Formats: sequence, structure tokens, C-alpha cells
Amino acid sequence: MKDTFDKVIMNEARQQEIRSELMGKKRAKKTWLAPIAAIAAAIAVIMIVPYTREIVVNAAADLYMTFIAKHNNLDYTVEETKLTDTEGSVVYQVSTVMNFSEMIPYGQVKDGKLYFVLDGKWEDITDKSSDIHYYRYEEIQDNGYKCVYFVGGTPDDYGWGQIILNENREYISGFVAVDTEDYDAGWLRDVVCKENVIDRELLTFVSKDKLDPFWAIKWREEHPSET
Amino acid sequence: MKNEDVIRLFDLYSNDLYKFAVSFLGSKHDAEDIVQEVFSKLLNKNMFFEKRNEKAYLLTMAANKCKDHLKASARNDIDLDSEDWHLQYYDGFTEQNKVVFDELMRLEEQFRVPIYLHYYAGYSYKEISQILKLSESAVAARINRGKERLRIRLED
Repeated sequence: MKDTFDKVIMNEARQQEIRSELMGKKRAKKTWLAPIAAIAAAIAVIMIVPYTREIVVNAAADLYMTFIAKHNNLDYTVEETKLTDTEGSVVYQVSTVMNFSEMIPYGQVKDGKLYFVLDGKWEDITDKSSDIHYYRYEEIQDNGYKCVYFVGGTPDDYGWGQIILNENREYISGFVAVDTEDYDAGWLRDVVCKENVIDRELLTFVSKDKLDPFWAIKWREEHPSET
Repeated sequence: MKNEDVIRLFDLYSNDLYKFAVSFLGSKHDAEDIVQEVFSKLLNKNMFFEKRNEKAYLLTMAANKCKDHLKASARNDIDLDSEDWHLQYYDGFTEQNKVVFDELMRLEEQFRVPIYLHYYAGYSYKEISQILKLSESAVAARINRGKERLRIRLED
């Protein structure tokens, strides 16, 4: 078999054609509230927003981090940088960073059962979640922001994540930790539909098995122009 | 992901993805399309993965694309009776290569793809289970059953 497949080689001309197309393509433009580099389970949330400093800082603080920090007893920092965009408008880049090494996944499997885990409490949700249904838990901050935690799927194939909605219940940001970026299941489609995400492209997909807590920070260091 | 990062991955893995897609779909042209779709998708997404996992991640994306392709074309397997089939053999194939390739492609996709990943690409059962989203026991069973079928056919 090795000898056979060693000879299965992509047509060189076609390969060069695809390569040239990739080099010439431009990246899709991101929406302003989509995290530019929010990777590995919302380790770093970075926004560029054309609002006042006060609004920006409040928005950043109200994002993932207060919810996550509260439940995981972690510290976080909010950093901001005043920038001028290509059209001359003043914008703010806000990044919220925390060390996630101690973060506890909201969805976990133990002894063949699927659990929702928060604040050290393990709730067996095996019968409340399936290929097409998800379990949800929500919290509302004093400022009216809502955080929805969710776990969907089965013990063999599950995912988890969270979504932040503002006081008007408009989607702000969210992530889902699953096996692959292409992960597609009825329960996740249900999350996108019922939790006002509108489009799954607005969710940040992260690999639940390969989380590297410091990856986002390393990525930002290696790609300063992206942040 | 930035263009230069995608190009780096393309230079490293496009042929691996192509062989994998051929093993999945049995068609040169479809496999080329899969390669293009996977790398184009990288450009338009906030996708980041660790270097040590990048090949497996790309194979997983390619597997998903191949499954979608099979669904969209409303076929479950390769049509070996089509007149075009023999045109798809590769330059430089010996008679033995042709026999091995043909018989492997005659296996159902559920056996063929794990066998390719294990015996050619060198992935463990655990890694294959992650790429194809199957349990390890299912991967082992498919490889054993497929291998036995292939052995019988090649002996004939």
C-alpha cells in the first residue's frame, strides 16, 4: 500500500493554481464585536470599538471575564490601547486576559455520564442533553448582561461553551468548546437559534481536548499586527 | 488565519490531504476540490491550532468535507463500473499498484478510509477515532474487517 499511495500525487499545475489563489485571497472582514483573537476558551477577548473609553472599559469588564473569573476564582486584567483606524477615527483596542490554567470546563464526562460543572457542583445532565438538545444555565449581572452556559450532546460526543448577551439581549460574544472547528450537531444549531447568536460564524470555536491556556497570549505576541 | 500561515500549511500538507481525499472519494478531481476547500476555509476563519496537531486537524476538516461531498452527490461509494474509473489511475502505477489501489477502492468507505489512515498515513487507532469521530473500538473493528476483506480479495 505504501508504494501505491506514494505514487498518488496531486497534479502539480492544479496545486500551483490553488496555491496562487490562496496567496491572492483576502481574509473575510470581521464584525466589530467578534473577538479578533479570542482563542482557547476565551482566554483573551480583544475588541476594537469606536466608542468612548468609559463604555469600552465597562464593556470589556462585562464580557466573559467577570463571569468566568467569578466561577473559577481567577484574576484578570483589562488592557486598552487608543488607536486611529484607517479612516482616521479614534478607536479603542481592548483586551481582557487571564490565566486559564485553572479553568474548569462547564461540560465534563465522568463514569459515562455527562455533567454540567459550575462552582464545584456537578449536575448530572445526561438525560437533559442529547444530539439535538442542550442543557442551559443562565445568570444575569447587575447591569443586565446575561451569560448563558450550555452543554450539549451525549457523553460520547459533547461540547460546552458560553454566550454573553447585553441588556437588550443582543449577542455580544461567545465560544463553544468542541472536538473540531467543523463540529456540527443539532444541539449546537439549537444553541445558535435559541440563544440569539444568529449565525454560528459569530461563535469562536475552540478544541476542547487540546486547550492550551497560554496559546492566545503567545499568538498575540507572535502576531502583533493582528491585535 | 493569515495568508502566509495558510500557505505554509498548504506547502506542508496539501499532498497528504490529497491522498487522504483520494482514499475517501476515489476521484482525482474531487480530491483536488477538497484540498482547495479546506485551505480556503482556513483563510476565512478564526482558526488556530497547535503545531503538533495541525495535520490531524486538517485531516479532520478534510474528512468532514469528504462526507459532505458524498452526501451532496447522493452516493455512498465509488462507482467502479464507470468508464472513467480506469482513467483515474496514476502515472507510474505498476500492475501491482493498480491491483492494490483498485481492490482498496472496492472496499466500502467505512473500511477503506481507516485502513488508509492506519497503514499508509501511520495513525494510531486513537488518532483515527478523533479524525473520523468514531470510537477506538469501532476503528479497530473496521480496520480488522476491512483488512480481512482486502486480504481475501488480493489472494483471489
